[in-house]
Amino acid sequence: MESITLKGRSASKGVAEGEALVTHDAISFLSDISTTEGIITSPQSKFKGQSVSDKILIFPTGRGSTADPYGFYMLKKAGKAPRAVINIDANPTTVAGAIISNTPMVYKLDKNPFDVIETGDHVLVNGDKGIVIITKKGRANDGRAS
Amino acid sequence: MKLTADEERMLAGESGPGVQRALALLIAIGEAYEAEKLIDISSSHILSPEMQFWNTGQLSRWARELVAESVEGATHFRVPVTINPIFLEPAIAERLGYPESYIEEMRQSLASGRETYARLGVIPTYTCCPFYIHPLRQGEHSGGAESLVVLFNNSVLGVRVNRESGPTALATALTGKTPLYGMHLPENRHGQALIELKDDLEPGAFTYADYNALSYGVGKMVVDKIPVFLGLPRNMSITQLKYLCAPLGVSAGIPMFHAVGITPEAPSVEVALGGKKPEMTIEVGKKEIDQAFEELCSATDSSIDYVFLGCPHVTITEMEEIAALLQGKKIKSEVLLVVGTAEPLRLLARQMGLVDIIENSGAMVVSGMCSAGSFLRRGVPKGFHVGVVATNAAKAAHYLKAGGVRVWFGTMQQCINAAVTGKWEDA
Repeated sequence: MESITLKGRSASKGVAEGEALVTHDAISFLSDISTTEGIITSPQSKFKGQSVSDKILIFPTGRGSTADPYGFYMLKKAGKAPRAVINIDANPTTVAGAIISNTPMVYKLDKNPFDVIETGDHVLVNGDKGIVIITKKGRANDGRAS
Repeated sequence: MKLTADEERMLAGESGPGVQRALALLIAIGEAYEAEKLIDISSSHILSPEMQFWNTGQLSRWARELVAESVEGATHFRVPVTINPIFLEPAIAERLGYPESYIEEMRQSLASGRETYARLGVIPTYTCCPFYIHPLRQGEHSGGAESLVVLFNNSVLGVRVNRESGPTALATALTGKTPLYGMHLPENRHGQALIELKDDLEPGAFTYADYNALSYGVGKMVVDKIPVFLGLPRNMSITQLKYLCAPLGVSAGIPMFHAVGITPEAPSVEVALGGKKPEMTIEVGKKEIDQAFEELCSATDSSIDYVFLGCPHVTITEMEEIAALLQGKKIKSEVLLVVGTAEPLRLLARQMGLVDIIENSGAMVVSGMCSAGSFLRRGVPKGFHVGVVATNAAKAAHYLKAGGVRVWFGTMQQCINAAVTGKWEDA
């Protein structure tokens, strides 16, 4: 099985792995995801209705307001948070949310994560070292994962 | 990031786990912005998740847990700290007929928050306009959140402050530090988008609602560019300026604007732009203002249930204007008219006889409550709904519309008329 390692910067410590959910939309944890269910609610998202729970959530950057980190924290408390977050650019509201929720977060990877990671890939995020290890999904569920 | 000895001690946990986490959080934010160091601030403005956002149910308990963890072991704030308003005043919840158990839960969450922040030495402003009470000066480095406070401080007073988040604002208060990036560096404070007013506008005759609409519309056009407003009256009042600030906080993500001749760093358009060419030039006329008015309304039913004024909190000038409009009048008994301000201003308005005039009409004057109507979206108990709302605040109208509430946006005069007749009428 193919495995790819990317190196980036760590925003929040910890190690987690799981299935990738890759969305090209900037995310506000307070306005785009339901606080207690972890379901993407933003009407323009092609993942509307899908859950971010226990996923490795990959999105370009946050678009949060002042209270956005609280949204991330509430998701974690409800047991519906993503296991880890990968961003291209780190918005401080996402960084603060990841840290207060004890969720690993890395950003500024040496390759564009959108070119390397697809929804359904298995991804390990090491927030202590700023490393991401991707195992491409098998052909059996190609394109239909999650 | 380079740390001072003082910062190293905080990071080692010498001031307790709360301060330790706070410093680590600020370092992480600083690294995301490639800040070379932390700087000392002289003030901060915080908001409270358990008082401003969630004060009932499970989410309120989690919010309280988060705050307890964040301040664990801390004995005092390191700098003077002001605080944002609460979510909903219990007296209004009573007036709306909310269940007693719900109101009791609210009271407990509020009492817990008030106790926590008082112990740490907060200046209990409970307002989005701390500059009425604890003003800052040009060049001062501050920390904190609340987009209005950030916009007003940077753009009107010349204070240096970033648009931070709730948790980082609390971290700046606990440590007296913030990362050196963004608005703290002079080179990032220049304007990028030139805003020219067309001849069909008469800024000297703008109502507060017009300023709201101008700000809201411009925010949508500049998105993340710092605008430079040309042609605004140089004698703009603090009341007018707060209405120019607030809507930009929701229609754009920017921490600052320049108004030439008003912003301390904008004596001329050249200085505001830092000697550079603007990245874009936008012309705003009557058409754009009308469009903003339209966008801010979501109601079609002219029957009104709830009217509020005071987003941002009203000044004494507005209190006088509202009292003059309500003098000798009674508002319709089914309508709730709420005027929101900060406690010291309410006391002053009471001494001036203004609160009596407003209350005699059947309206309420409340202090320390967020008038942006967030409670109408997140804090309405099951089985209750607020109905149709009217306001002269674009920020509040934006939030209400986004939350699916039916809202009318118009002038203060229209809002007061609606409270008196129970009907919204076009200007």
